[in-house]
Amino acid sequence: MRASIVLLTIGAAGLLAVPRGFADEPWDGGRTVPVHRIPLNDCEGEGIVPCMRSAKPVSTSKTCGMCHDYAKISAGWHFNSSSGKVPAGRPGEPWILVDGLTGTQLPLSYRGWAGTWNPATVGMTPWDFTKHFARHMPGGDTGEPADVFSPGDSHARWTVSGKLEANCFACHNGSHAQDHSEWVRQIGRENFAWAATAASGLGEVGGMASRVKPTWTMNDGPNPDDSEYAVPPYVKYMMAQFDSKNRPVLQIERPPDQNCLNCHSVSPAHAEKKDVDADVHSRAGFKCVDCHRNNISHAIVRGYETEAAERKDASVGDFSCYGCHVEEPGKGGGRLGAPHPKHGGIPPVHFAKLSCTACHSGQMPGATPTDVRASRANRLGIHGRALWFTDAPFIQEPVFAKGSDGKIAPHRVMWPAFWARRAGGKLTPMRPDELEKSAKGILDAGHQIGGVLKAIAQLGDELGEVVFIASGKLFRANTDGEVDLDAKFTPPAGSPSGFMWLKDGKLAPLVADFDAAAPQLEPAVESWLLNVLQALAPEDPAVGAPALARGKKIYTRSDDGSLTTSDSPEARAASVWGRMVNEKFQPIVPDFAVRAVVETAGTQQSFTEDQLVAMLQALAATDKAAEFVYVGRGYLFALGKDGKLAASKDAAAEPVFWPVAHNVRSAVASLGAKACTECHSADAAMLFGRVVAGGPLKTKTVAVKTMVEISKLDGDYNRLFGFTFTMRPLFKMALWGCGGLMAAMLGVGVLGGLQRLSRYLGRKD
Amino acid sequence: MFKILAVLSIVVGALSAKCGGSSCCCGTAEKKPVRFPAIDKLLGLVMALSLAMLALTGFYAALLGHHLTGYLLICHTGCGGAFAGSLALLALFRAEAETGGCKCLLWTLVVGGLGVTLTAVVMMQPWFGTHGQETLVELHRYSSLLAVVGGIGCCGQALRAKSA
Repeated sequence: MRASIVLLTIGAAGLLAVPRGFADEPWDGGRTVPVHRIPLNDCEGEGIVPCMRSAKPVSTSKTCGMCHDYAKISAGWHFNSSSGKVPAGRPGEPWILVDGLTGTQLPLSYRGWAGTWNPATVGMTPWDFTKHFARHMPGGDTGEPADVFSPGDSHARWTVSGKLEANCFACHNGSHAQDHSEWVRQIGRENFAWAATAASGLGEVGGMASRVKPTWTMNDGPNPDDSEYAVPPYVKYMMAQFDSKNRPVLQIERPPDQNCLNCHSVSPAHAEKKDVDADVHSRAGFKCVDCHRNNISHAIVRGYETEAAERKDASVGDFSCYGCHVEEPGKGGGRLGAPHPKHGGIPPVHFAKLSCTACHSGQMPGATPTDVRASRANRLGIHGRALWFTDAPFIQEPVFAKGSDGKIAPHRVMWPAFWARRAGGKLTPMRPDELEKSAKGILDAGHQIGGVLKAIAQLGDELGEVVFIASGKLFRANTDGEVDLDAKFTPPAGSPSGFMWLKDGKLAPLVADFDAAAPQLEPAVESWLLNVLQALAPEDPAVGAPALARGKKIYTRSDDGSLTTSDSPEARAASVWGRMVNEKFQPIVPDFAVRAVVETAGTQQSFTEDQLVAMLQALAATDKAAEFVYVGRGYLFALGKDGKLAASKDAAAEPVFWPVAHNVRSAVASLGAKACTECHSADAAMLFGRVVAGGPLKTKTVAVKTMVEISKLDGDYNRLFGFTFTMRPLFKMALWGCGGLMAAMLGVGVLGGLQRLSRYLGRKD
Repeated sequence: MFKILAVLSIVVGALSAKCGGSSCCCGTAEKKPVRFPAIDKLLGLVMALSLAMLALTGFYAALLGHHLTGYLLICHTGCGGAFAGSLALLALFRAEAETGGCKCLLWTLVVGGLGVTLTAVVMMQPWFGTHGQETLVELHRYSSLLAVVGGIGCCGQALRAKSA
């Protein structure tokens, strides 16, 4: 008896000790969102006093979690990819590790979707993954490790950055102050625990966790030794938002579309915003969450046809295209006023073979698919001084392929591109940071020219803008430290290659022409020459002192700042800027790099086959026992025994697909709405469109596939079937004629019979 | 259901063809000569062959529960055109020539043929939605059973007449 009392007492105490969210009680039926005038708590569960300088950032687990079951929420679809405990579901867009320098676009996913690599296999720890991708994650998942001391990951800094908790505000904050760009900035600074506070507009966050010592923690407060560089993160709350009890009114609501679109936008590359239509459902007034619903479990409805069966939850089926638009007895349908599709004249076999999205979603198919940019892949929607978006990875849509349900559906595709080690026929992709050293001087051609342009630009713009001319093309420095082709400016014919001043549309040499044979240079020329040589002086002297070669002379700047002239074994008619390496003159940008920049200028590609060969050789030199390859453009490239580049097919080079769901087009804008021949003709884009493998490598060895190949359809049959549609109007007329004749004959027969009946009835004999 | 009826229609067609030679049906009645016997024969042959192909391709898909797609579909629609054309002309040529039971079989064939032709051509028009299309497919199938009964019967009659 006593033991029972003790156990009951302990049990009751336990129940009282565990905070219980009243919002998880059964719904009372009220359809309004309650006003969230609530106190904010920090990561230790302490109430935040916003006026205090030592105030910590908001913890969603300790603030939202007071009423809502944070553990349940943080196991939801947006937060559970790395848990390994949930079914993978239909393939979705993978995370894509992109690196412009090394030409990497590697599809990653913890969910094991076809064609993707598990981040762990490429050596990415949860810390690395969060650092790379949390810019477009709503927190949680890899950002919330069970152990902040992360054994086995020595470079993780969770103790400094704090955990990146599931950011409830990212989706539910209806405030106009909710700022995705601010979230990205805070992630970049490793201010993980502060990011939600800053992005929600509740407070202003300063400092950078990435700059402070790894021993610093949130409880340490400001750094007394440094108030400029290694400033730890801090928050200044917006006091106007708080009442006298330190409670702000959080503008919590059902997630507005804007918040979803921060991470889920897809638009044609290079399109103008005004030309891009929204999804037909959005235009009809729907919000994303009208269909993509969830309860407290945050197991959000993804909306594909087989989801209900996979999840063993029939209610989920109501929110697929079919579930909503096609009402069936006993199965529901027609919710939210979804119109029943007419599909006039479309044989039912179409619905057995094609997904709804095949005709209604994504870009209209063309001779080749449209290049698109996606938020998470191409870093869209981040606004600030710098342009964050990237052209890579190169994603195309629509590409028609059979989905997991066997129906043909439009997909987005991305052709993987990465460097890898090959052992026993097995590839292990290499991360960009592993390649950085080898890539220097090989893959950084644009950086080499950009670096020189940037250095000379320090001299001021008195003489104009410094540009680079090569092969009749003009290149300007860009903000990434590389160069961009200026396609609008064509240098005059015969313009020499090299670095020039551009002012008022006219080109001029960096240093005015002079006679190299003259015993002494003009003072003005000498002064300017010294200025340029000084500007070009590298931070690392081992790189070589800058020099100018002209005629039979080489000019350098001595340590005392005077001009030094030496004889050159080679006579040069034009001025060539270079460096003295081992007392030998070398062009400041090797021809190899110039060729690469010229060849790739104005294309999607960033490096050439020459660079690929050089890089494979450089990698081989780092580890002679290993074999290195590059996967890209649908092929695997490796050096043969003869040292020549060889391309071969490999499963790892095959594209990665994920189905297109949005944007849904209206019925009249759907594929086939105008004519059957949009799909049934010998050149129909849906069947015979060509998918050309995109990627950073400029090469002629590029995989090309037609849609019928990808869909595993019979191309010959579809051509023949398409051809029959050219005769279909005639065929229909003939059938109408035959039917008419048969009907007429039947009519005559019936009339004859009636006549005989009439005769029989009319005469007794 | 359709599978049973399909088998039944073949049996009924075969029986009616057999009956044709006996006195119970049109065996005792004399067939009137046609004006263009060569054309009449050719039309009969085309009709019979195309009907056989239609039945093979159509029943194959229906009996196995497949959709009629691929080369079978092209074959089916191609033969369908030949069938409709030859049957319409055959009706024109033989409406007066046939007598008794043979005439019954011919009219059965024409009614079935008219059904399959009209349902086929209407399916190609944007007039009916999915449910309408499905109904048309069913009508097409069941009309084809009538055509099969009439077709087998007529062919059987013709073969028996020739052998006699």
